[in-house]
Amino acid sequence: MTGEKRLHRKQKREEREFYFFISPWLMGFLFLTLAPMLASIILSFARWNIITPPEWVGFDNYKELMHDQLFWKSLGVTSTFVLSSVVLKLAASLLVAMFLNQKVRAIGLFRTIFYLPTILPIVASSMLWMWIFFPNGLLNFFVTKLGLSPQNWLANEKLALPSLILMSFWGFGASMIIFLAGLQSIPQYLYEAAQIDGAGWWSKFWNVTFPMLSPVIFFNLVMGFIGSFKVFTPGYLITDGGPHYATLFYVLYLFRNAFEYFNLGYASALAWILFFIIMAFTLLIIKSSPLWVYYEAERR
Amino acid sequence: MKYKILLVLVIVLVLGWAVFFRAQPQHSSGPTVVKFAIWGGVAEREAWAALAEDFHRKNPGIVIKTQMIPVKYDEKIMAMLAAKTAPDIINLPFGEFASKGMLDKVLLPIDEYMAQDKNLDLDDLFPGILALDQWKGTQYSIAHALGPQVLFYNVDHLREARLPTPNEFYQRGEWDWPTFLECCKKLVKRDAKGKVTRWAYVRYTPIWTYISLNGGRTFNEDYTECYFDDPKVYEAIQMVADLFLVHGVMPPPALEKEIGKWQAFARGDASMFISGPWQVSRLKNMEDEYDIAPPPTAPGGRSITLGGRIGGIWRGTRVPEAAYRWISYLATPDARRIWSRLGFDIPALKSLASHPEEWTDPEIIPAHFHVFYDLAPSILKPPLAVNPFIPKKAERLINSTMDLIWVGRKSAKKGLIEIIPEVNRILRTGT
Amino acid sequence: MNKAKIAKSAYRTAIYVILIASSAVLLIPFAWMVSSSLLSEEEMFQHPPVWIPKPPHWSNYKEAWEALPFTTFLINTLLLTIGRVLPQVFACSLVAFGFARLRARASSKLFFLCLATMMLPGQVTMIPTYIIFNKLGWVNTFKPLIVPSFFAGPFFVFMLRQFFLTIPLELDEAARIDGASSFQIYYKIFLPLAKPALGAVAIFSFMAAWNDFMGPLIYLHDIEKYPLALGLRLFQSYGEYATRWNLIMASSVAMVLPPLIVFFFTQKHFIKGITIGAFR
Repeated sequence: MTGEKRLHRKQKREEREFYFFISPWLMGFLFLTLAPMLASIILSFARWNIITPPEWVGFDNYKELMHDQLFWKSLGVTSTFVLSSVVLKLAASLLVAMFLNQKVRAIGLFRTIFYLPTILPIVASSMLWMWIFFPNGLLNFFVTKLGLSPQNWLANEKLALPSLILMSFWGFGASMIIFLAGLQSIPQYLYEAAQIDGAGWWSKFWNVTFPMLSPVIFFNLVMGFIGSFKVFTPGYLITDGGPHYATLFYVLYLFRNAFEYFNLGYASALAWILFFIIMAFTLLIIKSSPLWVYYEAERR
Repeated sequence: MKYKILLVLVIVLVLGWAVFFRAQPQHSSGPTVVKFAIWGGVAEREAWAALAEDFHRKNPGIVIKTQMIPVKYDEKIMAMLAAKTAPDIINLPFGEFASKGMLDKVLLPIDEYMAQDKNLDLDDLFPGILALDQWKGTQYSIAHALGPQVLFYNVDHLREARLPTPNEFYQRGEWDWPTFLECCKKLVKRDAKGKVTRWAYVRYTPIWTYISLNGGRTFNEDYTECYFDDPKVYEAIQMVADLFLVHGVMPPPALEKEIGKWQAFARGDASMFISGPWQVSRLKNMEDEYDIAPPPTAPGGRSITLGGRIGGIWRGTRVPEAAYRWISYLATPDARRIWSRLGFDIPALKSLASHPEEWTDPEIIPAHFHVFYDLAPSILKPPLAVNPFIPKKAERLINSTMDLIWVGRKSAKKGLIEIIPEVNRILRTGT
Repeated sequence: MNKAKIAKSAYRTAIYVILIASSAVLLIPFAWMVSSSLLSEEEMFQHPPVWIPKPPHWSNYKEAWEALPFTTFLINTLLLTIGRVLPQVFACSLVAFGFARLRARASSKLFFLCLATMMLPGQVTMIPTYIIFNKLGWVNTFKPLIVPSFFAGPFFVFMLRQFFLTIPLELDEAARIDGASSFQIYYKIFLPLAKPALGAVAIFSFMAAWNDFMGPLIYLHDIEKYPLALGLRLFQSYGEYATRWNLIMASSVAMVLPPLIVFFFTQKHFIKGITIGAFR
């Protein structure tokens, strides 16, 4: 007896419907995403400079990677960035979202202002951050007010990366909106019930807000990991990977190999290594999710 | 069931790919269109439009279609090259392809077109200028302008410090690095606490200029070997680094971005910097009086030229003759007059060199404007004194070493000698 | 006044203080953008930077707008934005419903595949994707920018799936007993209930489309087809030529205003509490 025969007609219909519903994504995947992905896998085993036909080199690119100091350096820089920015940003955006979920006057205006940093064009915000970090900039102004000695934030090899991590807070707007939407979807009666039970602020957060919000936290966590592993712009626009490789993000190094050194094969190998690193992290989060993510519609 | 779905997917996929690879419609006849991809923004757009119009008047059968790519030029052109639909004229870094031995696979040599070109007046071009676009004896383009690196100085500041002008030093044959350093020490201004309020010099021009001014040569002619162990090379770098590290007359790297480079000069926050002719239009509103002079040199030293390239003809073009006509046109006096009126560069044509009033605003040019031209013969004497044609990877490696040298964490000698094997390896293999 | 009331009003005051203080900080960059957009050419290069332009050069806005065909850019941006937002919201909600509610053996594997497509840096797939669109003859048209939005972006699919999973299962089971089809459940129950999330998807894809310059940069060749985000970059010249920073800022401010207004007027609709309890 095969599994197929055991399927009820109803289940078969549901399966057909499933494919109907996901067909937009499936078609996009097959037509637009799959081929470029396959192309980059193949290229990762080749040397290609765009002009002459790709030359098959087997595992050479991957072997070369293992001895490439800048590969390890950029992996280290990126991991530091990911580990420190994901959690901090998540906590910050959740906190802000809870503030903006209050019933106060002109909350719409406040929400708009808090979302503002996310909308600012990158040319403007990167210039602004440079002014904050400059030797006579805003940050040093406060630092000297506190009686500490001023620093060369972006020009100092030890401080450049922490400065960019600080800057990454700036992008809290998107995850804040998602948290806000999540908070708004929590039914009010749950809080009322908790109130009747005499629950305090923490108990309400821990027993109502957190579980009800956990699917959204899960989303923001996964996306935060994926997004910050792929961080590129601050290193590209503000520090140019320097000083002395201190902010050489992984994808910046990949970008240089692809578009400056004309080495698409090597860049593809870099990309696939990153792909598997991100995948491992994502799987870890997904596997742990039954422990802490609560789905209203859990069926397993 | 599962297999049926898979089968359907495969069929859809195959059909989809069939659609992708169907023959593309051929374009219809009409005037020959030359696609010309260049970076730039608002100001350049007007100049290119005027040039294209003038060209069309002279060559009615050809239309120039300019693609203005404001940012990420290389990425876009690379995607188009990969799809084999690049514009007819592209401006990618020569050194990258040259070092990988594929320059002739990307660009079309123009020697034959030049030999038959009746419009191109080779005698009017500065001698040696063609070498700017040559690689191993083959011509790929025609440089239309020069960007000689000169010293810009604030006349008021020097007068106040009771210093002779750099031009006067130069006349006397005393304009060398020690004299320059003495001037810097007199020009720098400090407040009561010793904090600098006015810098003597800001670093602007690339390191290659200093090396050349010091009489050094950085690479061999084919760019397969670097000479970083030559004292003239590393001493030049150390001299500049010491302006900050030892003498405190130049801002530290951390401050350079904040105060700006030409901006600091324009405000009068710095007294001197070395750069090219494009600064003239930027400095037109400067309050203090400024002038230009030859930069200080060591025996055997000379300045270098930067910029002035417009790119070459893409190997895969369908309209090579028309594309060549455009390149050749851009080197004519008419074209140079239109372009240089923007104040961007110095036409490399003898007929225009002696008549700057024809292509620039006499109101805004500095008193010793002719210095740009005075430097040309020494710059163009073979081997050319230019930005080296080296792969970006080598440049990145050198720059990150410079990060350490500028702040004094490594001496120029140690830092540069350390990277020689790696730089040579990149130069020889291109990767 | 009783204790609870005092505590409540103290709490409210604290919230206001925090909100107003942090808003002031967050408004600094915007204020700075506006003020530098009004600087004269001389004031632009002063150090330390000028904060209050005297007098404000309102003409910068006019000059910026007229320096380039910005009216054309605006029309292009509107076309691109509308063309990308609507299909995106529709397609993503459909796919997310499939992943959240319909049982299929390959479901979780396909969903992970959907996530996986986000894990590869776009830099390496850019050139192969360009080649595909070029083969289709779509380069230098809006198609490479609009058509992909019909194929549900994985980020939004994932996001909506998470929201759909929080909707109680009893709701659609009850509807099924009443004979509703899957599509009816999706349309009549899920879409109305997930309005806040759909609104967030709409806002995000609006912002993404509005600010996207990389896609247009790669796929569009003619300046007449450029959107605002790319037109803005024409003010930032390459390398050596003078940069009109005040004009960049003027056009940046002009570009930020529409999304800001859109956000302000839509936020209360899409971040509105829904009375899920009514269904129970």
